[in-house]
Amino acid sequence: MRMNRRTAFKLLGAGAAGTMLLGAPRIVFGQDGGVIRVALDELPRSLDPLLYQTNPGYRVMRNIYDTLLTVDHAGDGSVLPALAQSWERIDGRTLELTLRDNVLFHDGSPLTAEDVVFSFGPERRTNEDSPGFGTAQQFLSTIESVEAVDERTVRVISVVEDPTIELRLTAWGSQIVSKAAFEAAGGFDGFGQAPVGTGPFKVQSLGPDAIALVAFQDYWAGIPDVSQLTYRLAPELSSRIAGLVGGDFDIIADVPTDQFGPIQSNGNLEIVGGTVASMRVVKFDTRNEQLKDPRVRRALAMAIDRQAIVDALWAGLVEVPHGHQLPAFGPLFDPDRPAYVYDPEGAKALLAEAGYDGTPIPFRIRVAAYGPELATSQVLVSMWQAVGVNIDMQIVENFGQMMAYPGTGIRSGVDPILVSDPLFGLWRSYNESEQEVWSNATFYEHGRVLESSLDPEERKAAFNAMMDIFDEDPPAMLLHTMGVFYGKRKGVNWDPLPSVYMDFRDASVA
Amino acid sequence: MPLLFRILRAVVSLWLIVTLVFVALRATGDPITAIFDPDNTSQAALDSYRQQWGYTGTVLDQYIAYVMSLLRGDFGYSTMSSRPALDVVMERLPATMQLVGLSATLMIAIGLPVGTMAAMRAGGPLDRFVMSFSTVGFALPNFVLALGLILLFSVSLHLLPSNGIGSWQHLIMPVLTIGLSKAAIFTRFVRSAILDTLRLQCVVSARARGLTEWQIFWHHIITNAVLPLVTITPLLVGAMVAAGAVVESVFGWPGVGRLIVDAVSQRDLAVLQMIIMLIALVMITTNLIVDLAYARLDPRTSAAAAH
Amino acid sequence: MTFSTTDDPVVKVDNLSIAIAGLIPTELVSNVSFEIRKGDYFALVGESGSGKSITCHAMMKLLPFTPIIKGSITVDGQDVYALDKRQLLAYRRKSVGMVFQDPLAALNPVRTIGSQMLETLRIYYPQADADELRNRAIEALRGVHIPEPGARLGVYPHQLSGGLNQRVMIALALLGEPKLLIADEPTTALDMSVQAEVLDLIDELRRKNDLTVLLVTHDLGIVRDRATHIAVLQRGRMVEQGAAADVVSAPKAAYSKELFEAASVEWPGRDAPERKPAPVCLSFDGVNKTFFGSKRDRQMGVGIPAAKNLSFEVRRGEIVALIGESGSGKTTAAKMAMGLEKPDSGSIIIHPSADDVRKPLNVQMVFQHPRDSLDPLMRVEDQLHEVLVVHGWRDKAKRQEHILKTIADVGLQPHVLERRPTFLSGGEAQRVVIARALLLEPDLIIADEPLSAVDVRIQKHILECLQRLRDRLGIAILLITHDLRVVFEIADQVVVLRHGRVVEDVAVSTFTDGARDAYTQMLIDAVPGKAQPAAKSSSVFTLPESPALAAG
Repeated sequence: MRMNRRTAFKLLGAGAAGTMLLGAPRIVFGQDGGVIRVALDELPRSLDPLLYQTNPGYRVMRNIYDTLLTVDHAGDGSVLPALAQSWERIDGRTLELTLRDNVLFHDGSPLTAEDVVFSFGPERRTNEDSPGFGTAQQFLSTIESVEAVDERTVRVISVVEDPTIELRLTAWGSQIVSKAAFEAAGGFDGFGQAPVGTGPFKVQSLGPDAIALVAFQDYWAGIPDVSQLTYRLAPELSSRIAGLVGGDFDIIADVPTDQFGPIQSNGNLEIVGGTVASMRVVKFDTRNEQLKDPRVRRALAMAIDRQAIVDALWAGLVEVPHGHQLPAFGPLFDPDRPAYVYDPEGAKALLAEAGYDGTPIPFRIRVAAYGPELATSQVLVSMWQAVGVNIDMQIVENFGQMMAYPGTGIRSGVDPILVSDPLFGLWRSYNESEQEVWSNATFYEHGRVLESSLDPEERKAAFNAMMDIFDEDPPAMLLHTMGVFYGKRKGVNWDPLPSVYMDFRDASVA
Repeated sequence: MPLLFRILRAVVSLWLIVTLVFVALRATGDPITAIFDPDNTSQAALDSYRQQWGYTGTVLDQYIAYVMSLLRGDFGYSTMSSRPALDVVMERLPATMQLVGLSATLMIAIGLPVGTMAAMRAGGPLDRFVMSFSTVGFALPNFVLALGLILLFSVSLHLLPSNGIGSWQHLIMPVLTIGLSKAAIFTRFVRSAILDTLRLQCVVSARARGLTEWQIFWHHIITNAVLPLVTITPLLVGAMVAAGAVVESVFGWPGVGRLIVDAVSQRDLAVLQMIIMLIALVMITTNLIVDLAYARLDPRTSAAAAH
Repeated sequence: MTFSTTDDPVVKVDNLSIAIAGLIPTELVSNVSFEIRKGDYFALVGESGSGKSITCHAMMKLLPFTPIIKGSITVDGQDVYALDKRQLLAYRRKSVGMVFQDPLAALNPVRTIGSQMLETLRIYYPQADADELRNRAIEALRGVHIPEPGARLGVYPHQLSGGLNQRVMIALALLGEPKLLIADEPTTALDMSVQAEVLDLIDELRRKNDLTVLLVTHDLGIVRDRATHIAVLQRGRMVEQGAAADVVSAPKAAYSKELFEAASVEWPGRDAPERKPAPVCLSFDGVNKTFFGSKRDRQMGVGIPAAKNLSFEVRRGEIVALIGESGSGKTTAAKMAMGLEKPDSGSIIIHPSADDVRKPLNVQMVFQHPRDSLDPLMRVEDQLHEVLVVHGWRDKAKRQEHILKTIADVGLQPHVLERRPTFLSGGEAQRVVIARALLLEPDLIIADEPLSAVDVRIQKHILECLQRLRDRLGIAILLITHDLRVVFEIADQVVVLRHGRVVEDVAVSTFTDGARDAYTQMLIDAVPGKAQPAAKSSSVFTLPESPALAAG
């Protein structure tokens, strides 16, 4: 019976069955082995990656599109083949890639070099009037052009010598779209509603309350085990949990640690997830009189018991990194870097040495950001007060108020590392663009090496020096990595990546 | 002539509302940094978005550009959907209309008979029950009621889907949440409207003439009690749209209420302006209809002016 | 005790007591007994709260609460409180008809006169077709002298004047040809000139249809003219009853005496001494004011004139009565004098004080409904203090002294200061309002119908109070009223308004000399209970229907 139904569904094709699925998801495929229903607090309203660069987009479109190259997020961060089966550096500015054979788009047409060129071309990326221009600026700004050498070979040419071209091709915005489909859809608006990629799932329907994806039968890496992947809108946390417990969802996103109890107490459910590639930090504005002296900033960093925060507010499930680095940096990761010390006495001594006179330092936070923000901030304030620093905590609404100068001092923030290289982490967060807040000439010198050197050892040395400066003359202090947790039915086999993406390529349902 | 004047007045108030919203939304923070975390997004990208969505220049410049495009029938572009704001809102409208329409029906279906019976037997056991029950319904936040229903029907009994839209089963809990909570208020209104009417001299005099209770109820009580109810009903329907913001969030109902919340949090100003215009338009139209209905129901308002 | 004309009484109330149920039942009517014989015109008289209305509502089983009834009420041979539901309907249809105080309220405002009549007629003629019912309705309206009865069927109560509505009510009450007509204060809500017409109509119907009438009223003037029997109620008890002539000429109970005295009209003396002309303190000079229903009406110039070339004066120490029926513009005049309305043209001058030209005159207003102008939640004392505080009286002891003196001036005991307005009687509340006006030592008081909300006896007290204030403090009073008896009592000068025009402006001493305008004379003639009986039939003087009157 179950087999019949699946067969029938395949025969009917996506359209008709999808309508049924949308209409009464519990009744039709509720118990079917190949269905995963994911509840998100927000759904993307358009499925063109260049239009929608936010969490919901990361979670959905990762499964619709492929990039030329990809990254071993769960492992050491090495670059892996994807739509390109091999690649070769021609010189500092040029990367040549050979496309995989037999890759089909969701509409059945084959992937060609022309599609790749188009995906990075003026209409989508480089034309300043293009709606995709803004998003493409994030990671692809250094890519001058992409050219087809022959039908299966493309060259990516960078503006300057760039050690990270490969990584850029794994990043958001470098997804490959079908040229023909994009043009047929009349551009971004139409394509965002009827996207055609090469990913493991194709879009069956896109509605304001649900996005239904079905397994792409001709996926180049093999048909995914999951036949139906449905994202449903459930903005309220409590209704996501109720839906998970009640059996309406298989996976729910964004469960804070204080809500683990009701899920873990159910024998069929579990909590998965943990660290993602993002650093929770506290940033300093050196224009503040008290914060001018690096000793004061170092003292502030020494006064914090990071592990206590992680244990109390994150159930011990996120990490306190040793320096502004992630294991996914691969060769650039320094496993021997010492842990941050919690030394209140040392902090007091440093403050005395610096002559801190007890003037209150402003500390601005946004409550609706970064997890248990208020609790974290209160812990921070009390730890600082314990070493004699007076803090003037200000809760603000938005970034405009956060940055409003004068009056700045300490603020909470996050350094996301969307691509596994310090260029997109430490350097991107503290480069010259914000030098009025903090600047360090040596740091900038090393940064430029990191940006342009093709010698891995030279880069590693530069990065290490930058991490030293980050700790000696701190523009910010690290607290811990950010965590994302999911509630999941135990019968669903899915391992979240340590990143903002949700990837269902290898998921299955028992 | 008065109709034309009213419409003109409606247009002016609509325009004032839109202007107010336009200025207020831009005065409370840069929409670009509300959508994109500047820690997370490069300056070049921010500038590009600002250019693309027309958040450049002074508020006055933006306002003039906005009004000009309004005059061309262009309601702006939704930043979160990359689609025309009008489409985004219109796509959500049917879901909300379904929810509000059914909730209003439920509210009237419960409130009218129950409130009437309670008033006719004021102080009796039914009345006391209804009054205490409606106090509970009145005081219970929609959010709590909605979650209670989910716990009961989805988590415990597995009878209804907790979330989404599509089948009639999906409608039950959202409609119950809004309909019941508003019925609690409406029942009280009906009860007090009927009670007020029962005290009217014309009801006493009808009774003195020996009319049956049935005749008195239909010809004298209802005809008078309906007047305050006609006034209050659109207000309650308006309150339902507001309640929708919470209820639609809990049940993942893709309606306009939820869209308001999203649009505010993501500073999708074009969509927000569109919704506010739409709601204002609906309220203004409803008021016009109520005025006309009132004039039909109460000859004192229209005839006195005409005489 | 009986004054029989025929054998069985139509109404026999025997030892009736009515109480509101509760922990401690409150008795509203105690041991009341009376009989009404066929053809009698029985008047039940008393002030508000005397139990007269409760008694007649109890006779219809129409009390707004669930009463505890002792004794019995027998009407038309039926024990009212032993009837079952169906019998009660039959009783209300066939045995008794009832007319209420406010005809506009007693008719359903959202249905036409015709539909309400047809609905009632259908009870009596279930077989009749629409045409027949309509003819009967027209017939009934004609029977109460409503002009153009056919056209009236399609109109709503608010489109008719109070007098016509009351006629409709009477027609409705008599559709079932009942034996008894209960009229509960049928004229209180009507203008003076219309009151007489309605009473005449009841008289006429009584004679024509052999009707027994029970008239409930507080107005002894009405009673003296028409009733055959009078019963006086005070605080739920019957203090006196008997043939009208006996009760009027020789009231036995002290309370009845007081009532009759209070209600008697003293015709103003024709030989009042010529008073010294005092300086003018308020003058209206050629004032015009028109109200428009809409902007369009304004453009078309179709409005309701509230003042047309209005000119009169109020002199210091003088009581000027501004009289007229509802809609005559008297209240608008008062509002304009207070500056609450602006005249379209003309001038209203409040002249400065005679002693000190720089000091403007202090003008205070007293409103019709004392309770509406007092804060129900605030003690009287606090409200009075507040007025003084606002006007800069800092010293509390001085304030207290002044308040006590003023309270005494209006004849109130100091203990009322402790109360909240809810616990004051109507008369006390009105005197508190007057005291509040007096606190600021005004030179002119404008009083808008200050007596209409209080009982006859209290009216007398308040009038005396005003008169005393005038005599002692030299305050000028512009008194707005529709009641000529009040005018006769205290006014020095009478200004009669009609449709916004002054039709009369004479000293009260010459007001009744018979040489007045026809309208004035009609008002004078309509005063009930005056010494010379008004020899009139129902058809003599009918005011033309006008929007101004209907709108009032």
